[in-house]
Amino acid sequence: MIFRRHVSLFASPDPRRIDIRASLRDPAEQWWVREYQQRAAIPVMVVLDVSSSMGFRGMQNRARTAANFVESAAWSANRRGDRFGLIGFDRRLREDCWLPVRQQRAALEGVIQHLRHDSARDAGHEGLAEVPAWLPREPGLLFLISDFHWPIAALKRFLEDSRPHHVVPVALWDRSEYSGWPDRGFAFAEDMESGERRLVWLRRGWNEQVEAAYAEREALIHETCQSFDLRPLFLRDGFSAESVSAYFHGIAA
Amino acid sequence: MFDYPWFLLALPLALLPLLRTPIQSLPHPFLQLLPADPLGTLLDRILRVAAVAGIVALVLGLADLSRGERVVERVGTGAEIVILLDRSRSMDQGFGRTTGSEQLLMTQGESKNGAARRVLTEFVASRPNDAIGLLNFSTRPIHVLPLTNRHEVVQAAIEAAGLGRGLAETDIGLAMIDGLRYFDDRPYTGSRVLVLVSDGGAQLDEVTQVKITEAARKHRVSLYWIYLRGRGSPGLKAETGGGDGQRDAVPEYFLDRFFSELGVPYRAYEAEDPQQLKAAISDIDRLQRLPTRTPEVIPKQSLASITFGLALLLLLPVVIVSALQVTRWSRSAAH
Repeated sequence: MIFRRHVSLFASPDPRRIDIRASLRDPAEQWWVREYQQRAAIPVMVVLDVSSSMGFRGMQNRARTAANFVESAAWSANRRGDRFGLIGFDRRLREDCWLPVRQQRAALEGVIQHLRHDSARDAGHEGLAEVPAWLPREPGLLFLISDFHWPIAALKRFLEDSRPHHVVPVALWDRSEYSGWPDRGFAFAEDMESGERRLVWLRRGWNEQVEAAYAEREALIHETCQSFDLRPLFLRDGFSAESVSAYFHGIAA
Repeated sequence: MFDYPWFLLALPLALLPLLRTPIQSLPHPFLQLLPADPLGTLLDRILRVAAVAGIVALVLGLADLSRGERVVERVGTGAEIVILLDRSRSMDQGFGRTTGSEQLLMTQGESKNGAARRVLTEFVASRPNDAIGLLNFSTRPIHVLPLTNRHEVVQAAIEAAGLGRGLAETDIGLAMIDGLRYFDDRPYTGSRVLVLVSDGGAQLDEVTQVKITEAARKHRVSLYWIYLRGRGSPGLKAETGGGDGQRDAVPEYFLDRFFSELGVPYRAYEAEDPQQLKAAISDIDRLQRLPTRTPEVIPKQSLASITFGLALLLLLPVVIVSALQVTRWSRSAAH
């Protein structure tokens, strides 16, 4: 318990906590009550998509962005004395990207290095459904880091299943994947997960079309999160602490 | 059909384009997000199908696909006609039946030569599809024109046959041999006709007879003899009695009998005036207008140039697309 401030007895009518010394010091002769802040370590968790599409390299190296985010989140949690945990998933839960919710940093470095240096990746997102069972019971802050290139229904189900936690969906997108197409030529676009190949005839207006499709997708993600009173954070230019801070200030406002 | 059929074992390779295109891909995290590009999809299909067909063509080309030897029935449209025109002096005279008054007045009707030329001109004009050769003969054969389709030249040559005077002698045997030689080294494409226009017959020695017989049979020639009967000339039909031996002494009889025993289609026309001449020519015209059907053996033809050309054409789209392919994002830094 940490002392926070004095409040008047009227604001906090708890006579057990009357501070006699402070009340006597007051020329206005008011009764003051001590208010304490509860010193509680809340769990901070990162649920990280480590599927193949998260290895995308456009203007940013998506795997590195994710690793930076994890590192930063772990560091600030540690500083505040919060517990930090990490759960990676692709088509199943990934044990090599797993940190139980603890307060120790020992294993963290290794896992972050592992994330940063493109490890073998697998397709899929189905592991996400198993994540809620492994979350701590007490409510905490949960970052869901992914490119959200999987069905919206899965996101909806996850948000329902992880109810007591405050979820921050963090979407890692890259400007290349939607506006980085060359102006002309032919491209055999290959899906990084399904391996499907599609011939795209690049011509004027293609980038605009793709951008429109991505904007629509973004709107859909926003809408889904909104129905859970959540707000997604879109990171398009890699990880920066400023954009994350701005996000939280936005929530406070 | 195939010279190297074992190359056909490579035919399954044609399925490769359906599995994979030889073009580097551009990795994208989520294709489903991309808008539909029907043109690109169509192009993809065309590309793959063309590549499959291209490889099939390539393999067929390697196996040396060829069209086998076969026999086709060919319908000849144009005949080859060689006209042997007598230019002896007797041809400058009129036809046989002249009235006494004409003789007295020394007025001659149209000369045999002139009538023959006029009728031949019409004949040539009526057969635009035929190749026509012309040979004048007298003492020696005179090659005027080889077989040609350029009828204005033929007409001019026939016209030119009226210039000057005829010569004294007539050697039908040499003329026949030279006329038949016109067909040497030519493919047999239609009926071959030799029209002999003369006003007299000839005795032929054994060697000449053999040569003519051989050449006529070899070239499968139809022979027409238009006999312009002059004054006092004997007719071809036996008007007077006598045995064969006696009649053979008459050159016209002899020639007629020799021709009819030649073993080729033969017909003789006796023309005593321009009308009969014209009738004879139109008869030939009618007979030789029938389409000639001949079986022709077409030798094996290699289709390699077609198959390889086709392969080149069909594989071209793949080459073009791969030349214009992009494998990098235009905005990329973190590589």
